[in-house]
Amino acid sequence: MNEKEFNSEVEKLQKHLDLYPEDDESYILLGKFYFLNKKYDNAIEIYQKVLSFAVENVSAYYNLAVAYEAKKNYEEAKKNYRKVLELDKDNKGTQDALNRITTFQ
Amino acid sequence: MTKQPTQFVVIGAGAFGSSVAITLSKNGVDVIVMDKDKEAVQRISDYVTQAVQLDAMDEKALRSVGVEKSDVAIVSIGQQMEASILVTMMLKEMGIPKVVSKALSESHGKVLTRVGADYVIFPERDMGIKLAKSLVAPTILDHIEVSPGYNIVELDVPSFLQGKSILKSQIRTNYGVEIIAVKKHTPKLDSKGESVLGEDIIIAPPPDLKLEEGDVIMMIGKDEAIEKFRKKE
Repeated sequence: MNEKEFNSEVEKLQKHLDLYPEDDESYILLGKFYFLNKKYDNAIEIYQKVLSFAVENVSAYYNLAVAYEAKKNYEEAKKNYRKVLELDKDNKGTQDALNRITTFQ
Repeated sequence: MTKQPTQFVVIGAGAFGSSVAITLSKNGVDVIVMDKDKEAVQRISDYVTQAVQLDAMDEKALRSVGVEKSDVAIVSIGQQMEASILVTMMLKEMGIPKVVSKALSESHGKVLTRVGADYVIFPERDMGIKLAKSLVAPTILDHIEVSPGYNIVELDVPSFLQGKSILKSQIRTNYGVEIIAVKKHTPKLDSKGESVLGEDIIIAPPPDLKLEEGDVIMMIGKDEAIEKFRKKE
């Protein structure tokens, strides 16, 4: 996807969110879109916005943790993975993720 | 061509023995595990071919479960040096082709070798060395000693190489180390549609491959050369 196409897709999602500002699923979709295009800072901003009004959104915490992990900010990644486990203790993927990033770094 | 071993016996179902047994089993080989402790045997029984409660010092008991037919025996008897020495000796006398024994100290290791152990491992010593090395060189994510003085190390692409191709970075010329693989983290979605960091490993990377922030490089070189590279970070 080139820059023009990317911006066009973001604009479409943003227009939808302007009409439905508490549509957490669409926000998360936008966050994932940024993530897939390696715009991790933008993804983090979006997930944090979701969590400002949907404080127990497990998907937001999880995807936020992965975005932090992509930026190698392991402290923030661990914090958010642990939050996922607090809300969903049987989330196996999260436990594996914590094991993976808990190294001697 | 050497036949691949397919029958393993692990004596001692403590933390080390269990890890070895379960990993072997996951790799599709037959594993018999033995321990004197009933609970240890029960804990592992679902993960291996057979788990038996017996005293490994009893040769008749060992033969009753067909231990002598094993290709490889791993002796990981906890803190009892005498028992591990005697069991190692017994297993070699039974004709088991390869016996790997866990040692608690250098002197214990020497005795195990003398009584016939084919390979002696020092898990605590080796882990201690690995831990210390990673604490004094935190930018090195992992390392494997290829030969004394030569290592393969895994480390994050340092900032001074980010954005450069392998050729333009002149790593070989400037530092005398060779990049043998590059790991790139690729953002993807998993089967549930959640974010995940995929890993693409490029072996023998082409010289025009660009190194980016977040990439991990695996390089081989002499310790001094690797250290010279690391100090540049």
